[in-house]
Amino acid sequence: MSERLSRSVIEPVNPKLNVSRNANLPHSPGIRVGDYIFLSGMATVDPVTDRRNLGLIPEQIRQTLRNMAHMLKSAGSSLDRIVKMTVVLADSGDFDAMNRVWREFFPTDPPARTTCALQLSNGNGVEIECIALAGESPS
Amino acid sequence: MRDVIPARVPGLDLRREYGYHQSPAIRAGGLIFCSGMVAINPETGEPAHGTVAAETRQILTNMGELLEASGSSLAKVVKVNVLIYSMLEYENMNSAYREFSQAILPPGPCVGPG
Repeated sequence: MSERLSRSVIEPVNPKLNVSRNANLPHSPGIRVGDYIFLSGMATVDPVTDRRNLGLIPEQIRQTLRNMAHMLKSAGSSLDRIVKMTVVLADSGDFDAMNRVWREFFPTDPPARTTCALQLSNGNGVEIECIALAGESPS
Repeated sequence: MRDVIPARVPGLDLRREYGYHQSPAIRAGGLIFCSGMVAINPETGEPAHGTVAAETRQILTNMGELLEASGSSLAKVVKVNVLIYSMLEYENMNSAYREFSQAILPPGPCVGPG
């Protein structure tokens, strides 16, 4: 392949969800390369107040996945275009709860996934990153 | 184009075997993305717990099987992430990893609790 791939930064349409900028962190919310979208790890953030929305783990996961859907939509993609996710839980005991929420968001053909438990910063119970295909899904 | 790669052996289908809501692997564009794998007997789906070296061999063998099911192979791997419970086991993992190194060229970063 002699054609050079281009690399562009992806930012959320809602500026409240631009954690990289709002917290002055030295990374981009997402990067598109060719037809692939690579999103930074995301945690629960309230899209109205931009505050961390710490609470019950299932709700933290739901809010994170809703924000991820917003990020992907901002890049012209969607949750059903995700190919691979990496999930970091602060407590491996939340694994079953995570799987239950996954069924709500990915009813069919769920993405490939890696899950591990590690200490997270800021009291977050979960952090999720993903790789997705750009573009609309054929429906 | 986004296709689920079905596992050819029952033990590698985490969804059927354990009810985990995830696909074994997804092909998208020209790349294949595999789910995280732990040491599992591919025929029975039972955990294959053992030394870190033994688990590494089992995982890489299973990974080769999954990749071949999708028309690829260990020789075409571009990036590997390794998670290990303790960095004290790093060399034990690496020694087993090296046995596959003719098949797997890329070095992977290794994360372990300090």
